[in-house]
Amino acid sequence: MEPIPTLSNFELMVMLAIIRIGDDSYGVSISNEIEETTGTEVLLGSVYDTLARLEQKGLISSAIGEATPERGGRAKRHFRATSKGIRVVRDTRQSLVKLWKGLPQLKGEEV
Amino acid sequence: MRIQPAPAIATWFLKLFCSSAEDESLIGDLLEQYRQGRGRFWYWRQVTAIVLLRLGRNVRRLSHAVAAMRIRNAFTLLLVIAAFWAVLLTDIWMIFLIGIVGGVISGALIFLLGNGRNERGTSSAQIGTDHPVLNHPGISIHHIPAEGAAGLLFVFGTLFTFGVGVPAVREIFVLTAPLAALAAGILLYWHKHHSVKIEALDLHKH
Repeated sequence: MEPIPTLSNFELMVMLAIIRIGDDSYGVSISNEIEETTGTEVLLGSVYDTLARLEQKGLISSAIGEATPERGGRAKRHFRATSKGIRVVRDTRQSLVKLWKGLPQLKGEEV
Repeated sequence: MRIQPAPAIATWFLKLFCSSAEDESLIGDLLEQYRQGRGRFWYWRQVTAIVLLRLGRNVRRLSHAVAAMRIRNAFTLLLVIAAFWAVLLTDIWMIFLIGIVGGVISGALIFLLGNGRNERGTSSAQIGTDHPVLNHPGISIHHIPAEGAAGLLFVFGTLFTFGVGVPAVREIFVLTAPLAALAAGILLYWHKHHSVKIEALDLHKH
């Protein structure tokens, strides 16, 4: 049986952003989504490196889209989560929920 | 609405390292975000990160043998560039000394870079065995004039291709140029403080 790939923190963020955005997932929308959600600036290079890794693992697929003038005539590359990708995200969530359950209160955390 | 042009040097730098068809969408994304109102500082930061990530990824993909070869190539090219800096910036008689050394080194460089170009089709197991280019017999004292001339041609060829666009050559050039400037500085410093010793080798005076 093929082993289930594990996701790093940033890989999980990118996967979730792709799933949240849906059909219009491409580099800009993914990094904007992560920036708006986390409040920290995202490096586009890191996003693309992560997307390449996720595609290599078979968790997402990509297709070349339309070119627009504001992009200097360059085409967009759209991403979507594969069924395997969605399954891995679901498994990761279950694992994280299990890990969080029964965790003693963290130092400095307000009740 | 007038479209704000992206910083030209940063874009040139980006294209230098991201020239594949897959990178087109990345460059397009960067331009789109910049034109949405991000600043020049943001653009430069993004470009620098992309280039560093790309270099890191390329290094990780190389085998140890190929990485060692790349370092050797870069160091050799560094010496050639440093020699040219020294020739440009110091006395004319220095050309004789550096011409011989630079000629031999740049002659060797032809074969080293030949290795670099063939490395994609060469497994690390092949290096040091029967690969025709990798096992070139090397530089012989009898071939200095021919290889020196070929080496000089190579240097001018490198400068030419740097402008025209062979990514592999440009990558090595960009990586070694700052180091070459440093080496040229060291050479100039050495020349300033050891000029008597160099004059003893001046062929014009003997």
